[in-house]
Amino acid sequence: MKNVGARFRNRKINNKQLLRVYRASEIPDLDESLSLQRSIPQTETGVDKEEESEHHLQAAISASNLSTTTGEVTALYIPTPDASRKIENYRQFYTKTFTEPSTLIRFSSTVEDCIGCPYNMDHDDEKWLVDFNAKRSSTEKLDEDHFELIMWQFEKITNERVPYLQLDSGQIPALEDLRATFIGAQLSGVKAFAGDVYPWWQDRRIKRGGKIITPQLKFEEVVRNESDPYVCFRRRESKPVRKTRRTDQQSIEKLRKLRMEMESARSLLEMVSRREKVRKESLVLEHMIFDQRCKVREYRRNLGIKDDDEDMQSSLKKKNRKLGEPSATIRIPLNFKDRDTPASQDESRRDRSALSSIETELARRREDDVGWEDLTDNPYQQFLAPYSQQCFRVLPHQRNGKYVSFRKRIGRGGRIHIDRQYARPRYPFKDPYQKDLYGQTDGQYTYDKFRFDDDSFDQEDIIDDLRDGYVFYSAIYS
Amino acid sequence: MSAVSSPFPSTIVTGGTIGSIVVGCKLQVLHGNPPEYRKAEVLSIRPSPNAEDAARCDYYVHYSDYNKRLDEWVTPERLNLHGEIEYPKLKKTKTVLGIGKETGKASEPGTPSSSSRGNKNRKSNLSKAVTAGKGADGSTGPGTPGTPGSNKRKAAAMEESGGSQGKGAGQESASLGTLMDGDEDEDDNASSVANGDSATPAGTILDESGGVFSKEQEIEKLRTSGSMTQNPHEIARVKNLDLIQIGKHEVETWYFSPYPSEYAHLPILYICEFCLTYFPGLKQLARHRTKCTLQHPPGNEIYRKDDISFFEIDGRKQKVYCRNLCLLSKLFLDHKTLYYDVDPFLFYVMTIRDDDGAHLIGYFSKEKESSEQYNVACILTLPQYQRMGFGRLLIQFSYELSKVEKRLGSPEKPLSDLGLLSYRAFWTESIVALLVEKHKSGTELSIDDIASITAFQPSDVLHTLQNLNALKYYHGQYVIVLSDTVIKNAERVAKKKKREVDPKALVWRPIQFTATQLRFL
Repeated sequence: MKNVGARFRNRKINNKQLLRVYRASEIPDLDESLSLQRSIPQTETGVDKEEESEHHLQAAISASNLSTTTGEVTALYIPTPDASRKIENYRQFYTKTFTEPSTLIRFSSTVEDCIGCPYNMDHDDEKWLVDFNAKRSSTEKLDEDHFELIMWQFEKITNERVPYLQLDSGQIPALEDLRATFIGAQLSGVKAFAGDVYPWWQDRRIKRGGKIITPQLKFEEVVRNESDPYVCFRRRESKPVRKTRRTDQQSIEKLRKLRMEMESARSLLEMVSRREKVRKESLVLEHMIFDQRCKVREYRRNLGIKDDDEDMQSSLKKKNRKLGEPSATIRIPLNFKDRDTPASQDESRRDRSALSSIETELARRREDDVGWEDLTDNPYQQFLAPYSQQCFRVLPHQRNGKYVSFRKRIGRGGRIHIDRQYARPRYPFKDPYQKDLYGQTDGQYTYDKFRFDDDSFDQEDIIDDLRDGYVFYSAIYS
Repeated sequence: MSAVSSPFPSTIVTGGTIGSIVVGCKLQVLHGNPPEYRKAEVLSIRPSPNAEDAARCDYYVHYSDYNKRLDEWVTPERLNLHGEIEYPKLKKTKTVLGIGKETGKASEPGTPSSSSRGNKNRKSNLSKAVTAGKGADGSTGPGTPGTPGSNKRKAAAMEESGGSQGKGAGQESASLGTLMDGDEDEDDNASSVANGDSATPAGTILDESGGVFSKEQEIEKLRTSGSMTQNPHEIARVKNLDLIQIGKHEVETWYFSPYPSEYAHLPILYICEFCLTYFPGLKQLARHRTKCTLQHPPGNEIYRKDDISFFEIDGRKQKVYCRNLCLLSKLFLDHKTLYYDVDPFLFYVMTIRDDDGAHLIGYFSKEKESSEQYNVACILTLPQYQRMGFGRLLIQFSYELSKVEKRLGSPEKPLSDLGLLSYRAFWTESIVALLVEKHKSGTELSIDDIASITAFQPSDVLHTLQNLNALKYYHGQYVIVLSDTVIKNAERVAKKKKREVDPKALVWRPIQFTATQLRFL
């Protein structure tokens, strides 16, 4: 009673709310009135409104309510019409014994397959047949099975040929037409009787107003929208196929595209993982080779074999060559080795000859360079500057901590200009004596050229570092 | 009998002659054992069979507040002609109905009244208009006395709301309006309760404006799904068969079923218990039985335990059998409709085996694709097998299928009275057993938890808990309280020896249907 407001707030019970289960005896302090205030609206019983109030149902419901509240048990049943009588002559009709298969029955034949001839003679047929047979000798009697066969053949053919016989019973097929259909082993055996049965069949059919003798269910209404309670099992009109809207189509297209992309991403990842696996494998193998080589070396050392140390190296080289990999500086991923085909073998041979000429050239240079320190061994090669920039030549000495470069060009009227600019050398270091295209070392050439060209008097420098053009140049070409 | 028409329409008179009884009359009829008088309505009259007196008739009566399955043909001796006889109201035409509505509207502003009283007012005006209309063309009507005066008017209104059931089939469309008006008062009350619960399935039985489902609406709904008719006027009121013989049993029928009209009012219809084909005479049955080779339902057995088996049958593949089954079950199911064909349903047929074959006990049908989460469309235990626990077995099996499908299910509505009681008993038994177990282990659980364990819909769980009076408010929250009587009852039920569905014996996978297979043509 602390919170009066909350008492009256009718919170609906939530289906997801966890509820504790008690027995009534465990919570004697349960306040029933509180539960009543919070009573949950009764759900519907699901019985038709008109029938819900029926006497016997109400009696049964209140009896069950009574049993939950007071425990009073009254077996109350809704009375139903009698179904307790049994027939005496069941065996007369149901004679076959049933042996159940040991496995579950699987069965797909339809009722039509299982009931034999669909025509079943009735009492009138039987009377006629008995009369008919009475006049005949025992050899020419017609038995019931054959009688039904004939009747059914008449019915079947008639229904096929004149399905609307009931509208005009004058169209009933003639005996000759029907007799012509008695083809096949079974039917030709009874063809002789067709003429005898025909009048009886015709009579019955006309009495039925041309309708099939065995009454049939009505499937379609003769008059539309007239509610005949006997019409049942109507065909359903087919639902119009829903036209796919454009938005649907677009989203389908998007989904399809997404799926394709996801799939290609997945296959890429698969390929990567395969590659990595192969790479790992090759690393392991390489490691093994290394280990074994170490072992070999150790054995050799232990055994005192020394002269074959070169073989060791050359075998490595040989191996590399066999694999067709030129000893180039570019590192190719290891797995690429495996892709080399025999076809690329002579290519690699050609490479080898080129390689040897390169090597001799290199040896020659090394000879030239004796006494010099080679600082060009930098693998990084800058891209070439634009042609106009390439024409600048750098003076070998610095000025104000900068190298001065110049170029000569011919302007209009054949005037010759010398452009100068302060610039750091385009290369981190340019060997002044490296031979240029003209077979001269750059250093000598420029040195000779500018030996006497001293700008020291030219103190008031015309070059302004902060001019846009220079800033631009230095920004781009430095 | 149409020549004899009532001299006092819409009125109650005391005493009358047998000749004055017409279709629609309500009077006391002897019924039951020991016999006692009960108010009943005459639904049909036919000449007595085997009677010397050609004028002697039998009367088909519906006892008020009894289920229609107890409707029966009675001899004139059982009618109490000395008591009150209530004569039917006169028929009215649609144009008159229109006038009635207008006058009703016109009168409303003048009468300061609640909406329900307004309705009554409208109704009485309507009936006045009707009688006036009839009086105007009195040449066709049989001597209609105008009913002036408020007293008479009130009586007419009462009678109208009491039951407009006295109309013959031909007048149904006209009487529909009356029925709606008459029911409106009750419906208002019902909806004021129902509105609090927003979960009320809208439009299943009643829609606010129109009242009862229109026929077109219903047929459209049936075309796409469902097997039950919601419209009481779709149900033929006079049953056409009295007795069937199926297998060993002779069973009295309960309701109308559209067996060929040539077979209507036969003393007995003979039904082959295996293929369910029907015959008007014993000779035909005997002939058929020499040829019929079926000894079990024509489908795949999906469950076998002891002598009980379940067969799954596709309505599309076994048309004849399923139609026969539906015709048979319609004899015992009031709201079942056979309006459309059986293609969209699967039939689960329960049989009991002996040396003669697997005998049909009952079945339930199930939509291949239910738009409303129904796991059962129609369910029936044949009357000769009722009250033996087979209905419970069928229900249990239907939920086992739902568990395999990993879905929650509920039976299609409306339920019959017997259906409601069977389902309630099963729900109660299952839920109480579960709660006792959970109480022992001390675990808390929600309504959704109960639903997912049992495959019942949460609304059915809630319904059951309410019936058990188990939802209580305690220490600021809802709890489930099992009273001692509930537990005692559960123990008593559990002690009864009965058959159970063994989920391990079920060999079944849900059939998947493609969209084209579900287009039904």
